[in-house]
Amino acid sequence: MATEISKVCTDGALAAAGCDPNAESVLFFVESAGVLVGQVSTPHDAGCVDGPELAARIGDTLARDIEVARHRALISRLEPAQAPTVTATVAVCTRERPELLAACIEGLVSAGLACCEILIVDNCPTTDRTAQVVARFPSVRYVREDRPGLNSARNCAFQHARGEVVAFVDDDAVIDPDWLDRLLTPFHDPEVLAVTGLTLPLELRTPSQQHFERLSGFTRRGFKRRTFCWPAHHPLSTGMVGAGVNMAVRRDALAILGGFDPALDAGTPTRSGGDHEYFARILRAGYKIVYEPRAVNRHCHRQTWPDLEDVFLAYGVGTYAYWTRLLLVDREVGVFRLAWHWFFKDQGPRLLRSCLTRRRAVERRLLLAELAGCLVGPWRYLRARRHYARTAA
Amino acid sequence: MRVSIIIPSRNRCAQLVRSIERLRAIIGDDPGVEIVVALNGCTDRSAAEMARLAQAGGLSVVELAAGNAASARNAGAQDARGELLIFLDDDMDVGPQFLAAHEAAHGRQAERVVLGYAEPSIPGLGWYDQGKRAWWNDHYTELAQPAHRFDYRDLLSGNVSIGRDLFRAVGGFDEAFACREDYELGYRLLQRKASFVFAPLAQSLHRDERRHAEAFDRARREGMADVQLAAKHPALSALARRRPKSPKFEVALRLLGERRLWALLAGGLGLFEQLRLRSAWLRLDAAARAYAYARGQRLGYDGVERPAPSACETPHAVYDLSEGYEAVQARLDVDRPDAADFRFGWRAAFSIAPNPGAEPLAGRHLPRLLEQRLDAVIRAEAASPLPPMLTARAKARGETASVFVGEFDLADPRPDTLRVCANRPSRWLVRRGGRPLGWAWSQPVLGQPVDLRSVVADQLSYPLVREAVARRLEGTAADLPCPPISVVICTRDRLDTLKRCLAAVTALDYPQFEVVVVDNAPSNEDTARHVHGLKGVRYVREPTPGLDWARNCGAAAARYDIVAYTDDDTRVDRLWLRGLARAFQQAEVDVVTGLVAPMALDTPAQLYFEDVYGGMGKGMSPRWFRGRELSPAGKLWASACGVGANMAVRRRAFAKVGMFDTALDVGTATCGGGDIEFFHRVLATGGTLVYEPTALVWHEHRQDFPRLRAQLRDNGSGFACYLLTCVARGSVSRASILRFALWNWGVRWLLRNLVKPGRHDRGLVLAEIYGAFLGLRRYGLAQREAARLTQAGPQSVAVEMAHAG
Repeated sequence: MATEISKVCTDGALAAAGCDPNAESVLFFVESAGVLVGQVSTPHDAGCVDGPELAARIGDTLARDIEVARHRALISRLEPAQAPTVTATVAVCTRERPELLAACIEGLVSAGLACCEILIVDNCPTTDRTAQVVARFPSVRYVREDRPGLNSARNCAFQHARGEVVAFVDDDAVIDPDWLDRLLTPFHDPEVLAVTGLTLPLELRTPSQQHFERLSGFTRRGFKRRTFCWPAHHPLSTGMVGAGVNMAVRRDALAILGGFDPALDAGTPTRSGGDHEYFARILRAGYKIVYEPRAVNRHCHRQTWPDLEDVFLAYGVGTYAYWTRLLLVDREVGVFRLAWHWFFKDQGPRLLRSCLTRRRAVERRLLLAELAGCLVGPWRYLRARRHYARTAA
Repeated sequence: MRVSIIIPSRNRCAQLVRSIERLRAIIGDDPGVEIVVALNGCTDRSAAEMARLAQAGGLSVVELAAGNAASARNAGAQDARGELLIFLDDDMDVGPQFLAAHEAAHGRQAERVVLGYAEPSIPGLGWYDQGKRAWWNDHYTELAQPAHRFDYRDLLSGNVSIGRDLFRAVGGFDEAFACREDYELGYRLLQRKASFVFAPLAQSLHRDERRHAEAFDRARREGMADVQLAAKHPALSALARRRPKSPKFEVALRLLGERRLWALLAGGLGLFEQLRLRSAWLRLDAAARAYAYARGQRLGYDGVERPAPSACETPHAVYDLSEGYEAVQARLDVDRPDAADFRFGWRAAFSIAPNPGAEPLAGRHLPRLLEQRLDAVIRAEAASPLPPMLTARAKARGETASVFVGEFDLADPRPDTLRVCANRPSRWLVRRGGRPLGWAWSQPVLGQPVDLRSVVADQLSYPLVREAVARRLEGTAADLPCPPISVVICTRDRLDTLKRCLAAVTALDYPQFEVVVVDNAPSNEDTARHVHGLKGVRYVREPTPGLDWARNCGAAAARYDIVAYTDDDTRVDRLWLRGLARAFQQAEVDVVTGLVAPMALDTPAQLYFEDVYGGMGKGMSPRWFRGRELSPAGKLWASACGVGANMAVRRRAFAKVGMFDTALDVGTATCGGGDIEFFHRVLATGGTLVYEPTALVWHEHRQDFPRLRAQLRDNGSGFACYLLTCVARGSVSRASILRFALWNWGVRWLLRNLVKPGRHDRGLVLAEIYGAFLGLRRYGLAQREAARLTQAGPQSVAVEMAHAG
């Protein structure tokens, strides 16, 4: 049932690829001149993927992108290489997942990032296992944040970081070797306050992971670099801008725009939406966000259907929660139009289509979970906000 | 005196004083630097303050009674004694390295203009302020790029330095310009081939405090100045292109007067901002600015009609990118041309037109030029290896109703095949190494040969790119294994077309194959006699009429594992079997279908069938149909997999799913559908079907409309019977067959072509629909007939005439 994930490089001839015979199909990420340009899915025959068929499929859909990447690599040799001009701190916000955290830190250290600062923010810990894990790595700093919530942890990271840019990584994500360099490249433009990257699936073993990747995976944002800026892009539609699982934010943004909203994102009743709210804030203030798909990390999607339903519920709650904040705090009346569009152009038709066939029962359940989340989103935001107003006072 | 810093000012005493104090802090007590302040019609305390500051030394004041910024700067420059003139505005706070950076950037170069970095300090957070800040930042980020090509619009007189000799030689600012005098100076400097340099360390903080209402007035003044600029320099006449009037703004202007209109607009925009109506704000802002600019253009127009200058004969330098980008970059740095053509071998990629307002091209501009035109570069590179191909000279115009169909191979374009016919519009199947790339259409030009190389490069640019990538990915293929193949041709009373078919089949380029002709219920012995006269062709007779009977008989008679079928009205390509063998390399493949191209397009009916109906080809890219992956609708659309005129079956497929269904296809009541039903059965049981366009045959379409109508009717009938067969066999759920028949076939194919025909002919669509209804009736007939014939037993077995070979 699993889909195997593999990478194929198109700089030369393709060899016939081998794969796990038990996999249902193989998902190839196609790379040209060191840059990912697209993805191609092929079935396999008893563990062997036919070379000519793979070449034909890649050539059919991605030929232009492959050539563009190859030429860009040739063109980049003409210019002096632009080294990143900013210093960075890599921040990992974590809570009670010491094994995953250990693997993550080892990955960071072995990727050669020991030279830049690594900061672990322990959010509301009940034991000291995380502190023990961090103590094993002398070059890694440990900070404790007792207010529950991922956004509070991010604000804490901002305060304690020493680099000009803070790059956030989830504790269960795996980064690629040149992730940080590529993530920092767009910061030479002083108008850019945030850069987001591409997140690939770590594995596609279970049907829920495959479903998530197919319908709302992070690769839907594409493989081409984009710059988001008002007036070219509406500041409130942050869906395509990026995700908090792979982002870097300039530390000056804290001073200009304020910190992340502690009433949002994981760990609070609103469950998600903190990163999108900050992206909207950056765009509304007239600054730029760059989506740099060459900065790749890999993330494990939820493995069971109930977990996936929970994710969709959280997504619905978080989206309506941050729209509520935009409406109440920033008086952005445009969120009504966004909600209208989302329901009538996207959620509604998908719900109708999923009611037609029995095969799509799981999709229907997920959509209903999302809609349920949307309904409770605003109240949860108000409740969280009241709670944080009281505790902050 | 080394440096003179010239500051024009008008009624901004406080800012001026602050700027000078800051400057003085930077200069210190350097005797080689002086400040020249040009007071331009000042009515406030500026003169008194300047007199007070001048007492400290190093500051001189020039007063003008009237004039604009340009005249103030010229007066200041006249008075200046330094060799380097730095122009600064009165609202700038200079940075610590301002002076040193300007001087260092000049170095020893004489004709150099140094642009400083006037960093914007815009504290406001409103949308207008955001837009201003973004504009300034984008401007300076662009200047800082090494690939930026300097333009006359980069010179901003707020922070720029020029040598005094150069300034005097070029004539200083033009005092007729109230606005854009810096652009005008920049243009003249570029004409003189001065080099522009950006010095980011020559930094000054620009306190931009303009409000939104002033923006419209500024847009008006810019419109007037642009028209003046175009009048003075004819090469910039594009600036004077006038915009259409907007009546609403005109009316508002008449009613309110200009100043109040701008204030009202600014107020309205502020209201939109309060209400967070973003798109309305953007639209109104853009419309108002465009109106103000157009008004300025109208006001500034002096009534003299100046035609655009004719494109002068600047020679274009030619660069061949196939030498490598580094080599081209080096040559650009040596040549510094004004205009250039870039090509790959013979194919032009892009060209840069002469631009008098920009500096000459240099090597460092190349990355940006290439990046902006990557698409054209890629297509030119893919087209560059094409060999020269010319047809014969067209002598007379032929009729245009018929189209000549030809083919050629890019790896080996034999001139005699190209010279065949140039008088008619032609369609060429372009191939490389046997693999078809696409169709190229050419029109004859009287008295000239057609340059097919350009035609292919223009029309098939993306297929060439795809093919180049596919070739690189495949690498050097090992020798193709060539399993033995049996070619089966089923025929019935069509000796002439059969002769043509056999002539092509016997000329096939393949190491090991046999040919079997199945004569289906013949009425005379002509076919038998002809075939017996040929060497290497076996003859088999199948007395029961029906194409599927003949196919099954041919499969039984064939000796080899792979059985390839083709119709008797086709002409197979020389490399047909090689294409099939290539697809059969994959062990999982059960059935292979191929491309069917039109042999001739001489009549309107043939053109209709090929262009409007879609013909029998399914595209130029190979496709894999795997039964276990397809949805029920995908399995039912078996006619998208290929046609029976060009198919090959591995013997194990017959063992797995059975033989062709004898109740269907030509010769029975149903008139078609046997091949499609077989494809569907293969897919429904989880088999694999590959469409391989390299396996190519040429087919003669029906030549007149009555026969075409009959064929389409038979198509409809055959498809309906095929669906009924699927229902009977239950290979796919009945509900999905019904949904497919009603929605995919009925509505999306038949009814859509009826309701919105486009180029379809309604009569022919109706013929197909009529055939579908006929098929419902014929199905029963055919089933009964097939049952009777099968029961009849061994009499229907083929009689094989053995023949040597």
